Amino acid sequence: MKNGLRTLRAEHGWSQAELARRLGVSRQTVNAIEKERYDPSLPLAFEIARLFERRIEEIFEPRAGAESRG
Amino acid sequence: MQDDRAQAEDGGTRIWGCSACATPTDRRNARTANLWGVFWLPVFAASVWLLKHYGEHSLAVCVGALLLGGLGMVPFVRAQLRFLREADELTRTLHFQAMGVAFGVGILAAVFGGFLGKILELATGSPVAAEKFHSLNPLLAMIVAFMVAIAVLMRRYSR
Repeated sequence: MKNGLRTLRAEHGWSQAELARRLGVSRQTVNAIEKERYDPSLPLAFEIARLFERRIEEIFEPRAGAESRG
Repeated sequence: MQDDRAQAEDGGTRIWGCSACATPTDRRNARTANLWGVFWLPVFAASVWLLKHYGEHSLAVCVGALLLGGLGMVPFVRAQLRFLREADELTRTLHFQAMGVAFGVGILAAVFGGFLGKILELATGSPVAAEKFHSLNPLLAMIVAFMVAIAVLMRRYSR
């Protein structure tokens, strides 16, 4: 799953730790999502979308022809 | 380079560090589970001691010792379940994957432990050592496999 989390986070001037705190997850989770090594659960994806006031599909995009690694 | 920048941006702490890997809830629940695990060790020792010294001629002592050892494990299991239920979702994923690896390794060790014991017996010429190795092997293999899997998976997701 491709995502624009790092860009959105940078736009808000938040560190990974700050974003993790706002989402209630570990910094490792934020790092893994940003590096597209881990696909978040649906509740976490909704929480990310709510936090950045975007729709989920504006942040996450399925990688064509590739299986999830999360 | 980009990773270095990301680390610097987040205060310079490596993501591999403990502060990045767990939320405060995870740390609290893990600590509770570990404490119950430590609590179980003397209970287990007492159970074995009872069996060894008084269990030979008394069914009641045997049953009591087994119940003591088994029931003493209940708080630890409950704490572990709570840890997993409330864990950060990546932490939970890592633990489930590591448990899967440990389970598979444990089965392999149980199935092939006898062969490894035989190899040890042939190598050392000591059937006693081989017997001990055989009986400990699956549990030890599971513990080691779990720890190695956690370390490898954390590294994989943190890179």
